Amino acid sequence: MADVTTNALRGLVKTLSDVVVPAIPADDPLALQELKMVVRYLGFARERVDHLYARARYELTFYSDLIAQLADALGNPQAEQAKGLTEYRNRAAALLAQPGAAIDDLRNLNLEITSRISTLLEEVSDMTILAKLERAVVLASAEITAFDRSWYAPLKLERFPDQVRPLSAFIPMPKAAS
Amino acid sequence: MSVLDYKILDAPPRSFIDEMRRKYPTERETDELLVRKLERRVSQTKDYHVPRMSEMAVCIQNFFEANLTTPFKVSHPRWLSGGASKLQVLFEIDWEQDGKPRHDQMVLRMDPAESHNATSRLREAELLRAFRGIIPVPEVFFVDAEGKWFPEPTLIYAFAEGVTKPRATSSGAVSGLGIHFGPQWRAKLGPQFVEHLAKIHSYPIANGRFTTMEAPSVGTTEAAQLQLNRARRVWEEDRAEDFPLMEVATNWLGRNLPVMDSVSVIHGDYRSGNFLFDEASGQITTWLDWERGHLGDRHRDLAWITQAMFGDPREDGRGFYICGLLGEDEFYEKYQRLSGLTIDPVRLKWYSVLNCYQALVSTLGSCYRVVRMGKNHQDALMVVLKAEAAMASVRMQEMLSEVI
Repeated sequence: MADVTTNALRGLVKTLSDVVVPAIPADDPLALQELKMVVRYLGFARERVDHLYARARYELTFYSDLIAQLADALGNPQAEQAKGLTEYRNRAAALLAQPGAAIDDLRNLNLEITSRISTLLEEVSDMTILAKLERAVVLASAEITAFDRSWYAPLKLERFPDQVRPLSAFIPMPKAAS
Repeated sequence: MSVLDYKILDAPPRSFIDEMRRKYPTERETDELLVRKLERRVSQTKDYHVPRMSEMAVCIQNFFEANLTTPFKVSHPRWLSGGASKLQVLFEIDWEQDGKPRHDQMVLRMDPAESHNATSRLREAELLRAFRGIIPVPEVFFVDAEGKWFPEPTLIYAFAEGVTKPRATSSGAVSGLGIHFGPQWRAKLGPQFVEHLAKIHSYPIANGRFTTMEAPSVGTTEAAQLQLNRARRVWEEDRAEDFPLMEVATNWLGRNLPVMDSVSVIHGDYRSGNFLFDEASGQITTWLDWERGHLGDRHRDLAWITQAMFGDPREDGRGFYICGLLGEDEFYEKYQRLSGLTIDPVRLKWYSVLNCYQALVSTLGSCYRVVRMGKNHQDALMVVLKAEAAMASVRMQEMLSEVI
């Protein structure tokens, strides 16, 4: 199948850059600034649109692994809570194993999991257990924050591009797209 | 709060607003601004459109007719770019002041219907007036604090000549972030940059006659608590999803609130991109964007200024120039010498985490909500700023991994 969407986005960026930007009056810098941001974001969307599904799978995999780690950290003293967390992990595993799982389902379950983790970090009062949970979240987050940095790199705001890992380090990508 | 509840933030009920006020007490004026934001989110969304220049021109005319008793003529109103949160119009005016004819270029700086940063034009005016004659700031002419004459609260001040970055550079294209000045401009602007900051932080606050700000108590954690409460409250009010690292940061910040040793005026967004300079003389001509100003701990500004996102990578590969202008050691040494104030690494670390947290609140939370509600004139900029969130979260994770 031809790359109709990315080709269209490429055309839009070119039209805006070559035709519309030069036509903006010099005394309307706000319009020019916003138009340049539109061009920038469309260029970003062109580079990422084919990978949105892989992103949703990656994020769900990441946070379901994290919630499983937190269940382990809770351990026996909080067995009931830990069991609840494990259920999220199981639901994620089932969804990820389902061929053609809808992207909205992947995203919504991920929202549920991140929400549950956040609530857990608010409600645990045992400082020893909380310290374990917080440590687990912080250490694991190195990966998801690095992923996000890589994902948004085409917006070209990155101050240290040499520190950004290629997106193919996180999600499967065809060679030409990485 | 469950995940589905975030939709209520499009039209938060009174009970939610009350809960936010109870859980996260802030400065009086900040509280009023945040309540106003949520109340208007409900009432004002459907028919909103970005004001057109023709509408702004009518408002300008009506404002001066009501506020000047002598003849005047307004001409050539046009939009200004720059900044990431306020609508700005530049116009010419022939008028009289104290019986003498004047011609001025004025800047009208107005809130959008909802900003990613709910702040006060009156406070901004008070700060600009306080620092007039101390560091370069624009002369304030008028304030429409309640939005009586304009669609939203508005400040009118003198236009200042100058550029935010050397005309020869293509860096700093988004809100002046990450400007590459190069060695020549570093030598000219760096000393002024730190000298002006020292003057702000050592300003005697009793001289300011501030009505919009209260000084937190010295020798307590109140200053830090108020800033944390503000950021956390906005996160609760604006976000669309959870981010567990934010919860860890909230917990750590709350457990480690630092004690403030002396109270300073805090600019709040002191960085390259927020001052103008004259390329011919190399002099800074004005300091802008005081909207995040408050009274508090100087380490809030120091940690803000030294963020990597405002920096420019050094040629030798050893980190970055602070705001593209000064090496880290040079900056700290000069600041302490000029201000007579010390730098406490513990507080600097706390405020560095808070600033990343604040950046994430704005870029992940508020920018999302503002675009969703369609009440801003810079939607495209708001979505591009998402990339800043990625960098801030990397930095916050790195810092938290050192302490947790």
